[in-house]
Amino acid sequence: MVYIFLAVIVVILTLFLRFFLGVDPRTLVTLYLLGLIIFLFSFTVAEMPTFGSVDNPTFNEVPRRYLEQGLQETGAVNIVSSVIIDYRAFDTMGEATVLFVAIAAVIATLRSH
Amino acid sequence: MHDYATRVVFRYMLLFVLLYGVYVVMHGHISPGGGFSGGMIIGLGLLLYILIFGQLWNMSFRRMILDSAIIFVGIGGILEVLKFIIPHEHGPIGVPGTLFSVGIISVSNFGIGILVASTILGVYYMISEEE
Repeated sequence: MVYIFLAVIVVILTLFLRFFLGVDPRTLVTLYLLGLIIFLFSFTVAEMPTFGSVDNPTFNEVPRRYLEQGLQETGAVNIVSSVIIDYRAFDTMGEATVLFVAIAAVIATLRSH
Repeated sequence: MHDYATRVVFRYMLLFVLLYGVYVVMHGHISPGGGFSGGMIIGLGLLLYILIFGQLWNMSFRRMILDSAIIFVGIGGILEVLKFIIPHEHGPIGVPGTLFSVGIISVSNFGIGILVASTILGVYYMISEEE
């Protein structure tokens, strides 16, 4: 019912813009595509799970393990530090590699001449 | 920078900037912060020191600083990947909540701090040498 109502509104708006205000059809198509994109993005954002909710799909056994067992397994009170340096230490090694490659590239570029 | 005021002020400020950076790196496992932010504080403090006092030094001393920065990048990287070298599942674990007994996380934090600070110094020196 709502969709029929929306379609009727869109058709009436199109006729009004085209024949009473004399808008160019190409401009009209652009306008509707823009409106469609805005509608889709807002719909997607509205359908996303709320931040910090228990029903989130990301709140599975992994963060529960980090929060409950992190202190015993890593010995760090700071859970963020224990995740960064202990559980996901390979990722941190990649970041350190990025830093090293950055300084190596700068030195190789600027010292060559 | 030929300003007399910045020289006088920062001569006393540098100690506290570096102390705060070392504090953030050391408390990486029991409070917010860690190697990246603490290393950034240390590196920016040293960078400010070099910006203010660096005009007084000669070229060989500046080049020595650049070379030591490159060496410290390597040392920090080795300290950071020490976790993968030690054959243990999670590395040595100390008493939770205490400052000096947390094991491999503290060592890795120090490595990351050294690496970030030396990277900032090295990139600045490499760019500022082209004058």
